[in-house]
Amino acid sequence: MSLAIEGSQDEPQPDRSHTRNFCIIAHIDHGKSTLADRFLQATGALDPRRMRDQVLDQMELERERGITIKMAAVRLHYRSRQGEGFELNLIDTPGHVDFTYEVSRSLAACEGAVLVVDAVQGVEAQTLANVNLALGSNLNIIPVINKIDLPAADPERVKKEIAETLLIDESECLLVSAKEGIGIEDVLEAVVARVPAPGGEEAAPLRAMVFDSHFDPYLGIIAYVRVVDGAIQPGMRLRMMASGREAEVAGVGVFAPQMRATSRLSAGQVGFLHAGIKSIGHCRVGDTVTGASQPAGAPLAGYKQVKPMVFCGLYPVDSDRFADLREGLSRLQLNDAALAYEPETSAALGFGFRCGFLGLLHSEIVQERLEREFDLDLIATSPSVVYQLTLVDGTVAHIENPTHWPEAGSISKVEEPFIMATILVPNQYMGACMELCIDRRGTFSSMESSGTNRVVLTYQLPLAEILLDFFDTLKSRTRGYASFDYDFLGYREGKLVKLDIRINSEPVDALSFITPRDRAFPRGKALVARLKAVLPRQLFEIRVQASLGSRIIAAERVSALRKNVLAKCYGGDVTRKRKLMEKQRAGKKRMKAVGRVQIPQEAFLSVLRLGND
Amino acid sequence: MTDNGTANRSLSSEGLGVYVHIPFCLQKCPYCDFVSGLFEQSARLGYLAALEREIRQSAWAGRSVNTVYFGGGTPSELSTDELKVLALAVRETFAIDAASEWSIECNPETVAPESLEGMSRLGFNRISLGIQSFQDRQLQLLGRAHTGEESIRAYRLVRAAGFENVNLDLIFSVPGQTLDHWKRDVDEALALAPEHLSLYGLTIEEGTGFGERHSRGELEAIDEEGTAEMYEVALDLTLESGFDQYELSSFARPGRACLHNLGYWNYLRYLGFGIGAASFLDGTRWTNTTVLRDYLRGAFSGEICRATEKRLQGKEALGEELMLGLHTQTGVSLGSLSVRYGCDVEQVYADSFQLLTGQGLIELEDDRARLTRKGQLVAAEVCAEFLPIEEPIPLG
Repeated sequence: MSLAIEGSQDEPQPDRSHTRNFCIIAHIDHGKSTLADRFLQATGALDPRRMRDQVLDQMELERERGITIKMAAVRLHYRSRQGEGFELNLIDTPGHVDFTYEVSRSLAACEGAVLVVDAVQGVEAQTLANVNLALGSNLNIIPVINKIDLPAADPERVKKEIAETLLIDESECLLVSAKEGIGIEDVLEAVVARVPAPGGEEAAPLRAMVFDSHFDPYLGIIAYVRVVDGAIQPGMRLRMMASGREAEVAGVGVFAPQMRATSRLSAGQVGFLHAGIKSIGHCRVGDTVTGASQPAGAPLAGYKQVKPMVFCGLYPVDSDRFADLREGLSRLQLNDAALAYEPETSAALGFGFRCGFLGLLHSEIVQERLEREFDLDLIATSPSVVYQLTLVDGTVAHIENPTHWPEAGSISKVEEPFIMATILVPNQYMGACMELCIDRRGTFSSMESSGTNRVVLTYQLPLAEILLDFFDTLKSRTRGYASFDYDFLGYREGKLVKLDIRINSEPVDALSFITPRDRAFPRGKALVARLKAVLPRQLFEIRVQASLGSRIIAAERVSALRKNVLAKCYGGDVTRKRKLMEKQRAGKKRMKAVGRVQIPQEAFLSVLRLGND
Repeated sequence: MTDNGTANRSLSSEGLGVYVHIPFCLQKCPYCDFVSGLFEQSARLGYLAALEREIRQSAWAGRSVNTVYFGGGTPSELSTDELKVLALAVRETFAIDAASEWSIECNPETVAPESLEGMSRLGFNRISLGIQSFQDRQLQLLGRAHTGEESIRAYRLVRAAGFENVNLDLIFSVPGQTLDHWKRDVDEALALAPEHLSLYGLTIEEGTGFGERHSRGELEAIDEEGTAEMYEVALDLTLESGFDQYELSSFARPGRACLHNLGYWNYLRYLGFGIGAASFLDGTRWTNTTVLRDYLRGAFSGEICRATEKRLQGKEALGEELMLGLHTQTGVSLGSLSVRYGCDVEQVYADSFQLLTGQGLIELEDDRARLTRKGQLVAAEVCAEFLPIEEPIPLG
């Protein structure tokens, strides 16, 4: 038994009419985690001595970035003002666009959602996206205007925005300061009053939805489930309806907020189960758990296997650490079904992995965790989307790595993924946003006003164009006022070509990228100029060229080293002189060699900065 | 240029070089990264006693020695009595060749007629003056305790004391130095007519005063082009004055190359005594501990711990011999290396030779490899080609 799970202490199970399953949805930084902590405090779920800020955010990285990556679920015992006891299951949701599917699954485990809107910032793009998701899951929404203690708070204005943009009645809004503990009980009362009790048939065959999971080294996968019909108890044989896997339940329990074993989980309840499942791939988020002996006729709706949208190569700077990188990726994957990786070899970078991520933030988080938790120095190649190529012979190829791009002559059609971007922005920055979208090959879709001085812009954009620095640029051009969210639209045809970089005539595969044909020239020129600036001078001249196929479209030269200072050989200390030379060489060892040219890490980063041109 | 010195030294292939390290300084120069500094009187006495002991207890006592070099720090800071103890220790421990070369480094401000006379009496026959520059502003920046005028006075005293073999150290590529400043320094040095010049480019080392100021952006290093011009002008000026550049930083009148210095580059054997001192003997390189307490304890217990130790074998030894030999004007004989290491050296380094000759950095002539003038300018990079370090990344 893992220490993480406390012993069984079955409490009297409240009847289903006294259970409420709900979540909190919010734009990043609007105060979701603080509000969740207040709920825990107010219901006594947390010993104040064990209280750390924002208990639901378990990972250090989440705390630092102030965002929630992995969801958690907590059972709260709440005695209402009428004196009735309720079991409230609070399901946390990840707060970023990359994790939309995971958000949708945790919403599907609930009947209601507390929508947190910042009393200063008002409705943001992510608020819109979350509300749409919640409405899609038929949740009752309780709008909460948070941070009313701030001097700049304007709850009346925000109420109007909520009414106009989200079509929720102003009178439903609750005014709260999670930080100051104001209005917390009103929210819990509203959860009891406005969120319906869970439905479902306890007598029917088991159907439970997996809305999250984590890996425990002793118990295997701990699946977080919402039981819809029937009940789960230890000893029962389970079947995962999508993956077809079967396993015997070793234990069930609830989050209080630490994991606590119980004897069963029944329809309407939220908790966890473990069944000795070793791979997260066998217990995916969204899958339906049923009984093997008495299976349900149909799974719960909404399951899909999440597919990575963004790919990049990850290489250890020190090639000796390839095995460590593999170990790190496999450890992270235990808790992250959306992370995909497979080994790849680059002529320039050696051995590494092609990794697939849900989005850019996901990729950044994975890289940061690898560097921090596994002490790796990584080179990440330019992120790429999956292109769909129809070849002259009629076959369709999916290319996620520019290295595998076929000869131009063999391609008859190139399609790339498009997204629908929703941007919420104050009126005065609308022009800047539109300029940016056009610059990134966007097509205008719609514009609506939101409240008195903001607009909601929607643009269709190639996914590849938002990969690099779209969000950063958007923020900087709007002084941080714009918010952004996106949905995948589908594949569209485009005039795309592969641009290669050659260093002393040798192509450097890791620097290749796919670009619209009409931008190949300026981008090629900008990249060779950047490379010229970062390549250290060597004993010979270096030619840097950008080419489309065999055609050179831009070129620069790095002249040969002319003079270095010769260190004095103090008292015949040849070892020391040698060390200086070796140190210089060790510096080079951290670079990657293409032919005889040493290429520093910055060179690979310079591709990433091209979005600005 | 002629083959200067190597012939002389070849007779001594059985003999050793001896280096004695005197780490005392009146003040620490902000660019110096060597084991040296200010010593309290008790530490100083303890050090000198330990040094004498280390010499006298040498495991190689009785071996034939043909060059002796007292370096620092500031050996000229020693009193004649102190110097005598050490010189005698060397003489009484080793079999000193009659024609041996005895060098001692002197800082201009410490040179006095009496001490010079003492040195002469103790058998020193070569003086190396740490002049660095004749320009006071630059000397101040370098943190030197002397002026240009004192340097000239010191030089005259050295001559007056009868020394016929004198070296002057000068330094270039100093922040703020112009090509013109440097030319004047070289001209002034040449006007004094020394037998030997050592011209060093300043390296800004981490952990020194200069290193810190540089990292704070307060000290602007001379750029590559400026450094190259200074080096080249020095090559021209010394050549016009009849000096041979027998090693990258060392220039001498015919027959006046520093034999001890040449030994380093020609892969000859030497023993170093004192804190941090380097030795190369029986195929092994080592350096003494750089921690004073450990050094003192070691000297009195009979075993000095080593900060580094490396036995050179096979390709590593070959690479190092090549790397060192390329520093000299005569270069290295690939044929003789091939015979000694039992391999075709040109073949072993075929890629490097192809690149370096192709770029005009090295010339291969009559089985000797030597740096071209262009190669001398980037000697560190060129020589590093021969250090045996695995290739960074296999292609494909």
